[in-house]
Amino acid sequence: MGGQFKLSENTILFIILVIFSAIAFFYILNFFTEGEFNTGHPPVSTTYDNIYHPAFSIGAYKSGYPQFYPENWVGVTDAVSVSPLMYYTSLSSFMHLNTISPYDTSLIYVIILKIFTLLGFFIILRKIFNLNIALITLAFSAIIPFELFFLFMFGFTLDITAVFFLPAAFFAFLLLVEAKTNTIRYLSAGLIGLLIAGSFQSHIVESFFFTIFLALCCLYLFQTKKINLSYIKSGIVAICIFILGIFWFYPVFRFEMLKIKLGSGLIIHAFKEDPFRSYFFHLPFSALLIILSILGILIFISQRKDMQNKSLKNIIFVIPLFWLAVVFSYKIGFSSNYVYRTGFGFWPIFYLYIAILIVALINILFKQKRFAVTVICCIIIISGSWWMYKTPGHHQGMYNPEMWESITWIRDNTPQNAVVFSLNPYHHGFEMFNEKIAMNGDLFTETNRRNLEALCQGKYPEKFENQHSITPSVHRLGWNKFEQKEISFIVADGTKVYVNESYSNAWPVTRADYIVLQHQGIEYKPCIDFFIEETKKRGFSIVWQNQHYIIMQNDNSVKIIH
Amino acid sequence: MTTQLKSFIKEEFQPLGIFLLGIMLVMILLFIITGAKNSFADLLVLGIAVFLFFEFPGYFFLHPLKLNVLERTVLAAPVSVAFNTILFYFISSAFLVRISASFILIFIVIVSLAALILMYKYYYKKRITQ
Repeated sequence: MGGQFKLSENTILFIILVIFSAIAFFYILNFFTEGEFNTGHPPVSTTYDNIYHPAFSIGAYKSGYPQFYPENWVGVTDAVSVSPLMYYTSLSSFMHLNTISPYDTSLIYVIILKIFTLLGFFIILRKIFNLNIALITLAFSAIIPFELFFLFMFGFTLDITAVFFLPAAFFAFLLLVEAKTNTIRYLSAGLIGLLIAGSFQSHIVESFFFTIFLALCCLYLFQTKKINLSYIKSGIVAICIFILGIFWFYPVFRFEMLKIKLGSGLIIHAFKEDPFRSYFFHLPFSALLIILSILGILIFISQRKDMQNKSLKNIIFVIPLFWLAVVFSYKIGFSSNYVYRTGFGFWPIFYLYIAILIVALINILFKQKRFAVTVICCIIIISGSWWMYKTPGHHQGMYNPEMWESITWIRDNTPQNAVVFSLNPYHHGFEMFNEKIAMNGDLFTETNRRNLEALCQGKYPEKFENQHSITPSVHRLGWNKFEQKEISFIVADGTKVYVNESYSNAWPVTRADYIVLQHQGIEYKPCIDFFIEETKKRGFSIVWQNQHYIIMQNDNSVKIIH
Repeated sequence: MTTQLKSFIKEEFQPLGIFLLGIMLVMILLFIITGAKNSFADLLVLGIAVFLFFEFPGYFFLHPLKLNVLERTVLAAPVSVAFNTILFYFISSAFLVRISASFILIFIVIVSLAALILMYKYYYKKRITQ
């Protein structure tokens, strides 16, 4: 690595940004060429949120009044939904400025926002730390090793965009701190109050993330000793605007929702253990990242004495620390799905610790430090993206050909009012694209390890629970839901059920007309063979199968098949 | 119009013009690479929509922070999107105004102008006089 070869800071930046833009461009291109829905070939990746949430936005877009629920809501006229609406204002407003289809707009919108957010974090880290650390953090963020980090492939989903007011809130805080006049200071404070109120009106549970934001702001003010009367007044302004913002909406439109949420214990539930989903699909890789992060933390602490701009560094350092704490608390069972997801708001700087470690190693091992950083970044971005692209189907939410075959078989070969029980980890995908009525129940998701354990011990689950509410529910998803007005129907065992309703008793499997499940391939569970044999004894037969999937039909169903 | 104001407007809008040209180039590239699957007019409109929705008024609000043009352009996106969302939502619900393309355009222009004036008055002028 010796010699005269030197790269300027701008050259490195240029090389990395070109590669990064090329990857980002590839993702955008993907939606123009392969991301067509309603066609014969599978989407690259989606969950039902990717259609469910754009569907809400399209509702807001068509009505033009985002504060009201549309007349026809997910196929039900005059329905009352507790789904929050404010975030749909954002997407529906962007739709108004476009002439391409609303669905395509939703995908483009979220990709652009994510790219800008990533680059924004890069800029902040570059300013607070240095170019090398910022570049390596960016490179790691660009490949996104966890499935849920693979955000470039995601459409507009509320869970992920729920924290998108945060960068603006941080900006408003910086404006407040650096303001030279009280007018600007109070305006910034008002904006912060409005943003927090907005967040509470949208995704109430995830807006708890703002508590961390406020804690960081206080930490900054205490560290820099900037507390004075004008800051206290600014705080009062922010609180007043927040209260106004909340009361503007809640008493009129949202009181019912708040009541339901409090009544159901949903908010309390957010702080309890949520073992419903497995967020760690690549556990060894996750473990490696966490170990590297810990080493990075130790290096950061050891270098802290020599640092300039300590207060800002401490603040930016605390954010991923919180994130890691959430991860660990999740693993030891004190956290929850909701709390975990709030951590995603700052996912790009999770890699900050690892970047600190790598840069420290580069400083020891290489003379041409910038060149080494450039090469490492290129390797991370190219190999990571290539690996993700070449392994579809290995990540939850992505479709492999076998899975897509089973979805299209159901879509094309069963009556429109067929009730389908998708017993596999990809049930969101099945529910979305098979265009039938979905019966919710758990067999394979994280809650139901016990179901699998029971199967392996020779016990058949006679009834199924819903993973979230402990009560089973029925949905009509996919494109059909917009056309269908039917809200109740008779299921295979003769019971009348209502779409979008939860039931207090668990489902027996005999209510379904079809069961889709995986019998081979990735994430195959061996004890499922026992389930198949036992289900056959309960009146089902295999009507279709490919290498990985089996579709069973209820022979006692009154519906005309084929 | 004073020379100060002229130079302020030039300073603010010149990089935005270059950014708009960049977006248009990306759209032309998309049109060529995707084999004209989407109409060219649609892509141009998309480019302009991205420019308006993701840059205004956030770009002007970021004036007080010591950022270069590229940094401002990037950070303007999350700030603009959040600000526009809040603005459209509250105005629409307060006055029961139907959100439409013209509504959005009018408010983006008004707020951007207001931000521009605020920044000129409270930051640019003071910086020049110092």
